[in-house]
Amino acid sequence: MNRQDAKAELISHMKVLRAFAMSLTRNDAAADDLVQDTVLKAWTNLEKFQEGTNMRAWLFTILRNTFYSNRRKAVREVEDSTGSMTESISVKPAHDGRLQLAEFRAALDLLPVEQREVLTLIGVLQYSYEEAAEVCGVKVGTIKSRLNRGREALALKMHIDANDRMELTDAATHAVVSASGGTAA
Amino acid sequence: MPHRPQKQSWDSLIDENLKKVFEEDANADLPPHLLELLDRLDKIQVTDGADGSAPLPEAEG
Repeated sequence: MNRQDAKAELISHMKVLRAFAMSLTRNDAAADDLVQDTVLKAWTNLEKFQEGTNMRAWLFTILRNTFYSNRRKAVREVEDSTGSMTESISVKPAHDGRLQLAEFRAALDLLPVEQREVLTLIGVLQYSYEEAAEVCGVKVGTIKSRLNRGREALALKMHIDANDRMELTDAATHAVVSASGGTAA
Repeated sequence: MPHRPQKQSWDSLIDENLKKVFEEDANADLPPHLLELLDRLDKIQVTDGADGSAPLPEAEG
């Protein structure tokens, strides 16, 4: 493939590539670094790209492999700090009865990256189970399991928000009743 | 008793939110240093895999 054609195609995938990086890292700076590494690797290994195949999928594969490779190194460097940190973060529940996008993002941040990745590949990018399994290098059953667990965790968060609204409504009603000497309907 | 969506509608709602999050990220402007990187790609020397650059990592789960 002509390098200029390849460059043009690479550029056309940049924003989606960065969005995929965000889905893995949930952090702007980390996503930018990951995209930069991916672009450099793709560019210097362009001869390995098979013309006529899907460049976006190829870039995604480079990106996710770079991400997991960096992550393994980071885990080795700070062996046990990340897990407890992540678990200790709590999401402030929404009080308007539905999960706002910012709060959905926060809930998404708390999922294990493997689940977030599968949710993105299947829920957003419409990959089949088989395609996702190939990209992630795992069995189809593992993909289904990660998808279900990710969706369950998010649904649980959304249920909690619905319950939270109920509690808030009850508290508000109670306050009104108390303030009006128990005469409120 | 409030109406609670069934699993399928939760899944649809979740996917809808996932798409919104992804679209927001995909519509964001690229930061200047990534644009600069694209501008200078042509200047990066590539010597057919013999440049010492890191090989592509193997697929992993």
